Amino acid sequence: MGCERRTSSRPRPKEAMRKTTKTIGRMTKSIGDGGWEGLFASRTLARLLTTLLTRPDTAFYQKELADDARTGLYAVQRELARLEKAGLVVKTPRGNRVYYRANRSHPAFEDLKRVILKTMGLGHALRAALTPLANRVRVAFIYGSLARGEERAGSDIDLLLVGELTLRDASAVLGPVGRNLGREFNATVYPPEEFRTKATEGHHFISAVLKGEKIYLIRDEIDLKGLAG
Amino acid sequence: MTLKDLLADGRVRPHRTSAKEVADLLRVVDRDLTDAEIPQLSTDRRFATAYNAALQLATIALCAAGFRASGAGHHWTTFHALPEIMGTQAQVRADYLDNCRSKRNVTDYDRVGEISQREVEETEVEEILAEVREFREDLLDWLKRDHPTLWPKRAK
Repeated sequence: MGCERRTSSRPRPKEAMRKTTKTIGRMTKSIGDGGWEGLFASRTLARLLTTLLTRPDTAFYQKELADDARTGLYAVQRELARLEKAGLVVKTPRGNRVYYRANRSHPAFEDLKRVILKTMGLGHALRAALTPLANRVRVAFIYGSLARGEERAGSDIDLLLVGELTLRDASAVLGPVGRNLGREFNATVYPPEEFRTKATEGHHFISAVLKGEKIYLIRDEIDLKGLAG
Repeated sequence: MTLKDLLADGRVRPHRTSAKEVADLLRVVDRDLTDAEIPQLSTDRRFATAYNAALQLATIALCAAGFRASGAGHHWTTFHALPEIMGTQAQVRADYLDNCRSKRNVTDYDRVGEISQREVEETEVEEILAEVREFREDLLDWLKRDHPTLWPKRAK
């Protein structure tokens, strides 16, 4: 590692650290990271970069970043020190809090942001794209290989949307994201009543999707269960 | 990817079309449009037929631009090239039709033996049919304007 741990007030033994990280890793699911998180010195570092670079206009405090990365403050402090040293993050004290945000003027900022968007930041990009449709979409999620974490480089992104919209409406917002990210979407749209009917009738495709792994983009499991009846 | 990139990748190859080829493709389009309206057919089949009409229309555009899709993923290539050929206003159409491609893949291949459970709804058939009819009009206007020698005079 090589960097001093001046941020740590309570250094924990290495073994305990690893254990914590592992448990967190099993509980949570990264959004289509396609194995990219593994390329970074730590999962926390990968997640911090994703948060900071996909929302470069926002300044975060440590606790927010820790929640977003689904890890503890200690790990976040350590990785923030790394990022600060590399010049990718700037620190601003405000009141009694210290805020962190991505350094837009870093020469690699744009390139790194694109890399993150195309890999680990997929979920962020998709949620942002779907926002204009949010009032018409009851639930939207990724299913299939990406949700199972088994995607390969060329895998389509399987997306299911339930709401008062057509496939054409969905295509209009997803198309630009797909081209930006160099990924293809396979979107399926169901009106709420049809989705409910098919779910209760045990329709093959819907049953399989309901049983399978999902990554929620708009609303969540509770809304989906409510819709499926 | 631009047409230049697609050419370099071998996804399209140069092609010299003729008024006859365009007229033949357009006949396939009209046949499919008629068939896709037959209410006795399954919605899956009607959707797939309307989709084929759209693919043939996009193929006409690609031919007129001097190319033919080749190799794997030629449906994708054909729709992907459409906005560059017909103008950026065709982007939403291309995105929508490409999504229809995925949907058709699901109904055609993944659910064999699930015929009794319809994948496609009536409203989705209507949606794609409306799109294809409009696409046909736009394509004929475009041909008449940009490629008058390929424009089939007998087409309504």
